[in-house]
Amino acid sequence: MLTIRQREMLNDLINNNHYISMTSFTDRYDLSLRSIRQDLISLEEWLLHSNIELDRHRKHGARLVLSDLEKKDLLERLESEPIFLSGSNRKRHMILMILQGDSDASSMEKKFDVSHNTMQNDISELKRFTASDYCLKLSRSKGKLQFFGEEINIRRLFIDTLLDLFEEEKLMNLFVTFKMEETEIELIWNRYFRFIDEKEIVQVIQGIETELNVEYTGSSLYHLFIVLVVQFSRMFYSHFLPPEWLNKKEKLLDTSEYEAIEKNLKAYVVKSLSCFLPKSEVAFSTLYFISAKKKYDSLKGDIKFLELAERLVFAFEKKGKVKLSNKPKIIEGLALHLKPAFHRMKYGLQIENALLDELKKDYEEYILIVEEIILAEFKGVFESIDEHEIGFLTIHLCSGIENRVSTPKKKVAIVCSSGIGTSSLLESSLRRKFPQASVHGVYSVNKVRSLTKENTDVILSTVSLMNVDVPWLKVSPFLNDFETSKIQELLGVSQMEEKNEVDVINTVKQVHELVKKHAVVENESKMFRELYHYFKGTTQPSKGNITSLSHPSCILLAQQRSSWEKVMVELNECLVQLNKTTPVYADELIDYITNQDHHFLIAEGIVFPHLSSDQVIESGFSMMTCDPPILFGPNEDRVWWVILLAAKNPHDHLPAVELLIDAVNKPTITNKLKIESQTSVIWEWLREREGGVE
Amino acid sequence: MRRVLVVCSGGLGTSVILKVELKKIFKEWNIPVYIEQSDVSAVGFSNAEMIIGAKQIISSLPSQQSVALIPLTYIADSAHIRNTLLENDALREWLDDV
Repeated sequence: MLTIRQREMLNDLINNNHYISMTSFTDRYDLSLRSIRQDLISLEEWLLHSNIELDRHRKHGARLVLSDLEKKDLLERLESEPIFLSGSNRKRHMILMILQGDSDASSMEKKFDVSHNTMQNDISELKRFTASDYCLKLSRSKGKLQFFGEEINIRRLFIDTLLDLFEEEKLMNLFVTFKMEETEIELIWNRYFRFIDEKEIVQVIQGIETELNVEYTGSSLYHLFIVLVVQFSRMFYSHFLPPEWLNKKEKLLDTSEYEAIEKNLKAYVVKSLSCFLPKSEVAFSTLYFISAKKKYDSLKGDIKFLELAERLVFAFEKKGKVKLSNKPKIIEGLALHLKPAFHRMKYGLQIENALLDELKKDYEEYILIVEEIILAEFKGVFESIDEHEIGFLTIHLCSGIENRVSTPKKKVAIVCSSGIGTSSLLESSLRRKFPQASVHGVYSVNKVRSLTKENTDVILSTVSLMNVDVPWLKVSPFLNDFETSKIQELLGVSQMEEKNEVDVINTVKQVHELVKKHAVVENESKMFRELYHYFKGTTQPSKGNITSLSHPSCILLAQQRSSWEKVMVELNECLVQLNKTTPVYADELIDYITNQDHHFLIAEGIVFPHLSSDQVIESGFSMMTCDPPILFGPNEDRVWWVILLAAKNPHDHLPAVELLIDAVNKPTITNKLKIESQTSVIWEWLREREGGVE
Repeated sequence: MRRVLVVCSGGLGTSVILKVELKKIFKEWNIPVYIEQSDVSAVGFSNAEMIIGAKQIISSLPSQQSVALIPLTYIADSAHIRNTLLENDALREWLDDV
């Protein structure tokens, strides 16, 4: 079996009569000479089956001298060769084979060179996936696999599959050179779309562009190309959209796009596919052409969207109490976004906003504002807008926010023992990390009295202070991470690095593109998210599952105890064993509960002790139910359930804690928990609720 | 958009829980809110109209004009939270506005 690389090399050799040098191979694949030699040996073996010898020259490299007949034979053989593919790509190819009617399961096994079991697994996975995502039923009929369902859904699956298989960059050459230069694409093309002339599709699209006097962006061209490939191959096999599909979409028929498409499509369809062109089919392409993005120039006529964008920007500034910088740019960008967005909303085409979760975490406030604005002032303008689209609007609008926090600058005073020296170091660290804070002066300890709440928001001091009204924090001149995060809390503003959201997203996009160019990415949106986290400098998304937060050894049930302090020590010990806290954490908690009017009694009979402490190494929790109830803390509250929480940050523990608190409010669960003595029962209950699988 | 601040001693535990619960309740009541959470030290920097937290924490805050303070006895008891909120004048006004 040949690898993709060997296939490419062979393809080159077949199509070139002259020598191809070893260095051109090593350069192209960035591999050692040795690996290339190994590849050539595999090729020689493969060629031997066809009785063809690879001509190798010590100096010039390798070549194949072939007669036309031999060339044809080889190309045919290469095509029937099993395809070596990763699991996900294999499934994409299977979808294509099924769609193109080449779908007998046993011949697929041979083509992919996989076992019967693997193929059965693939098929059942496909069944699940197409049923849930595309409402299509995959079943066997006369030994052949077939998709059953609405034609439009079949096309959606088809389009998505091709978008996954053909990379934009590799396909775009077509629009420039009219040539399929990428072996990978060529192979797929020859296998499944031989009856379509790719150049003609490009011509159809360009004809429509000329007709409408527009220019589509690169990624829209790529998308439209694939849509037409899908449409043409469905029509080629006589699968048309039913006339009913047009219901409620009659408006499409009146658009200028419809006319231009009909004209350009008809000529091609009649000539090359020799079939007629029903209205529903023209409308189908129209749908995609309308929602395609045009290059900026073509927006000029669309005053409507510019106006709308402008209104949105002003409403956002007013409601959000923010001032956006570079407004003209934002309005342009927004208008450009709005046009296709409108068509998407109108025709219910959904696109996923991969950044939505991140946005919700960091920009929730603004998302809510945008939502509110749209409900209040743009009712009727945006029909059925969903959270993904709101997310896009928010991204555009927020790109102009320079200071994320609308509150005025924070006044910071710096205090050090003498008033000089280390203070200047501290001042520059602060300015660098928090440009939105203004340092109004450096004071010596005996001048601290002159600082009041009126003239100062926060005092940062290198020494301990006594009797000051203003919130203060003791810090080192360098501001370490811990201190930085403390200042962040105290000032209520985030530090500098977190602000340039748009820069981060742009960097992520670029890296993402680069990686995609050189490697096969299994899960693009996951990679995108993780890159985003990396460049944003935040930690990985929380693990958040029960297994990472706790352990069966941390769940103690129906225990008989006499002292609440011992319970605390014992529960903390469970966390110490998991390396989540130090033994001192228990002391701190006991101390706090004894000396302060604590607020850990979160419901009758239930305590939830936790502190923000350096003694917490990692988020986690442990718990104990007591029978009979113990008397907890100085108030001697009767407590039957103690949940000890160690929190490193506000998110990691959230899912688990949410689950526990939800239980607190459900008498059926608390009653069960009161009498349950089997740890495994509770552990399983936790894991099931959370869907965590080890 | 109403602004609510949830406070606890460290900004990590109880306020997180409370935020989740309050989100649910306000949604049910159709009151559009933005809920922030923080520890006690940052209260002065917030422009929230209402501060909610455990009674021990709330009682330690300086009284502020034009900000409604709502102390809770049990911060995880959903029924208790609802009742306490409904006893507050400011919140009843919010509800009337809906």
